[in-house]
Amino acid sequence: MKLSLKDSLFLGFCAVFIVSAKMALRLHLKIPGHSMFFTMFFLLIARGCVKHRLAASFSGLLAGILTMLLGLGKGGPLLIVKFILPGLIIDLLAGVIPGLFQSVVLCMLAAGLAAASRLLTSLLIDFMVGMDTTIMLQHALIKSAGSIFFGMASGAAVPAVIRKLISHGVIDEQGRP
Amino acid sequence: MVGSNIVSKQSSTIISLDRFSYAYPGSSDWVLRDISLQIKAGHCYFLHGPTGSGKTTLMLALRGLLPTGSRQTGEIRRVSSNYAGHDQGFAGLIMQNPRTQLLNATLGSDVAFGLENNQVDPLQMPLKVEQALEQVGLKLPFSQPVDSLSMGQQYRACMAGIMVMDPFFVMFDEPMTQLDHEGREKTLALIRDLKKSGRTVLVCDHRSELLQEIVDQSWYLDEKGALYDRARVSENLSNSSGSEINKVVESSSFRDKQSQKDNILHQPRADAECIIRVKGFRFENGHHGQVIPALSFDLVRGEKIAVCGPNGSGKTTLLRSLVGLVQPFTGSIEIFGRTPRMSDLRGRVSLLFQDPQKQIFETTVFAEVAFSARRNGLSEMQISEHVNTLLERLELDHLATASPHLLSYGQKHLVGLAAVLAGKPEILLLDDPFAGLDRQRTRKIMELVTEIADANEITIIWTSHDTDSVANWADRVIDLSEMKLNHSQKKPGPISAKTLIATPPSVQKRSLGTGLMLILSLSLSMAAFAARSPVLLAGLTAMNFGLIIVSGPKPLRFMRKSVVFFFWQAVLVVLLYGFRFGLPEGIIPGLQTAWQLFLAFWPGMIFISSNSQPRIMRTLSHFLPYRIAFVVAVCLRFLPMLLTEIEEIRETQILRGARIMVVDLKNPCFWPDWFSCLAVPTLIKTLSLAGDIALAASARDFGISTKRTVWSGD
Repeated sequence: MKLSLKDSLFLGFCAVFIVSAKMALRLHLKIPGHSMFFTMFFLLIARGCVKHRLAASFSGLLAGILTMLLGLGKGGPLLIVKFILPGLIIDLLAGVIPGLFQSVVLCMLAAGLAAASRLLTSLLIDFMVGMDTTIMLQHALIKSAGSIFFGMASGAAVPAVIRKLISHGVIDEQGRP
Repeated sequence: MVGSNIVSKQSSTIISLDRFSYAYPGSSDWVLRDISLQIKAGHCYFLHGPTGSGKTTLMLALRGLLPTGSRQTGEIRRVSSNYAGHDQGFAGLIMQNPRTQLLNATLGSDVAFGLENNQVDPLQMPLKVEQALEQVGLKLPFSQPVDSLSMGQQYRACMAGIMVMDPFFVMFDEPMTQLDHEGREKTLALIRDLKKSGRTVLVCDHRSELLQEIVDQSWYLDEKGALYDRARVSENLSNSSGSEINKVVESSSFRDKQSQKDNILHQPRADAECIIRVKGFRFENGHHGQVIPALSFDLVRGEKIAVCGPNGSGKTTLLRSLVGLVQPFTGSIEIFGRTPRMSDLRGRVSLLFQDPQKQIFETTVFAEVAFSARRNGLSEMQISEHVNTLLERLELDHLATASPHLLSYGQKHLVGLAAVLAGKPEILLLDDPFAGLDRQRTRKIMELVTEIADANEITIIWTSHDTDSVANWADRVIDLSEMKLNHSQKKPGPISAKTLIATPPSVQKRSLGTGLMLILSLSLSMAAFAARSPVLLAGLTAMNFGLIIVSGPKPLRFMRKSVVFFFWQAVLVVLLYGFRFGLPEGIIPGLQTAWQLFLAFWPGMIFISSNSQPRIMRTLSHFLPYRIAFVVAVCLRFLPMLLTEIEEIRETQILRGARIMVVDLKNPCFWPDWFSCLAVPTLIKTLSLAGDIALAASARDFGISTKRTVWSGD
């Protein structure tokens, strides 16, 4: 199924929200992982509103490119991977769990799993630099624990928002804006 | 291109509709019903009708831009032989809001957008763009940022973006609505020129009187979507223009009234309580940076004041200052005897913007209207009584259980108004709220607002760029257009496009190309993962230093930023190594790992700081599919606009009683407000913006081919 230009732009704007939340909050809150709250929220919204099998991944890809372009992250081109991975997990889960966006619990789990991808990214990078295994795990856990917590918190809000958007008629039951 | 030869035969039909009906996907109601019309070459047509009657839909049908998956009957016929000879386009459509149609950041690149989509040779583009800009009277540099243009200039930039594609048939969707007097005059001149050059023009607007000299035929689209032919405009005027004549009478009486009112500008009623006091107030006005002369006025309870002025004169800034969102440049503002603060004014002041979608979030009209009443502490019984009364007076009672988002444009405005009135505010701020509505509906709403305000002693400040529409009912008028200073000095002067083509402004002088830098950065980043010895790491550090010296715009500043980043990363890694291996032993390997990690990220930071966004975008567009590159570029372009929209949504909702200030985070009971009052309207607005941009891009032939050429003029 091909994405329409309108859908692509909506996914692009979800990416913009992720990036702008990151931009707005990094100066004020010093809690590790808090930006994952918005990343997960908008990736789930992207997939909930646009029923394309790679909607969240597309949004993640765009968020990665935008973050890189705006110089917000510190990984240069590697940033794209950091955003695509959670998107892919959400797309995968949305594909195999039909009622994902109607259930608070399922959305929280999906968001938690997707946020845990930060653990994978961190492990991968630390492994590539040859870090000690124990330290590698500790480092990855410290970096991703907050992300998982905030990711799950945002997942709890998604079904209510999707329901409201459907009831307003701005997206239909099939998730087409 | 304007000035090109028109090969079509005058009076030959170029497009016709035969019993055409249309319904949007998912909707059971027909928007257009049984429409039959013929559009002939070289004619000028005028289309009018009430708000929400389907005028834009009809124009989209004529342009071939209606959404797929919809229901339609009848036939649309285009006679291609009658408009042969045009480079790219048969029809061009200029929509109402210029801000969502300017898809690129600079004037030249934006005008050239349609040429890129039609794969015009980049060498030919500058001349075509220059001609189109000349045609619309916009002699500005190609590199001029479109956001620095006034609303009128932006609208003309949109026109240039269509004219550059050499359309034979040009459609204008409500061109007069967003424009001030100067902008209207220039738009009218262009329409006249287009007609003179033999093109066909269709103008959809509420103000027929402005176009009567040009129009050959006028159509009226009623609320049910049926089209009526209204003979010649001159006949139309003599037959039906009770309303037009009334308007002329109203305008002249308004002028008398205004001149009387101006004299009493600083004389509030002695017996009433003064609730707003503005003294020597000045503010810096937008991107032009000019400061208007000092403004002083007092406002008593129950008074109604109109603030008028052209686009960009600072009307919205004044309103935002009144609720404490913008600090005055000089002078002071007092509301209820105190310096305004949002948290103090919540529930006492309401603000209604032009777009009602910014505030609507509930699932029924009743719940939407009841929200602010509930937040202002009214009991459920009082809420029910008050809301029902309001809905009845605004003739919305039969829609109490309907979704506010499924209502017509005009009905949404009424719901927005009812929602802000339901909180029983003491002050009502209306920011040009009915700019897109027809005159009849606007007049009716104004009468209702006045009646409700008089009954409840609500003080009203109403801004508008259209003085005629608000001044009749206002007790006093402030005209900001007379207070502007040095505006012309701040505007960029006309510059020959040819001169600019010869000397394009460079973003930065760099020794390395963006593509080469990207490859170098990626290579250095990857090499850092493999470097396991201090010698190799030192070598890579030196290479990165070299890259900074060769390409970095501000090496010292960048180095300071890099050191801070390295420090925090090193602290965490060294601490972990310290815990694992003991502190003295863990420091060296910890530092080495942190150094290696830093070198993996540093080239990315160098790459970003050395290149501007457009350059990176242009480089990435070689690697990314053009559609993705376009989406990224457009999202970057609209990011500031979207953030402003979100801010406006937040301000409106706070004043309605939503608990979405940072201090409200302390109370978990109010956390859902962030989603329902802020996230939902934001997403709805985003969906709508995405639709508008997609439409604007499609109207300029985006996606007609899998390849595009690239503008390089600026």
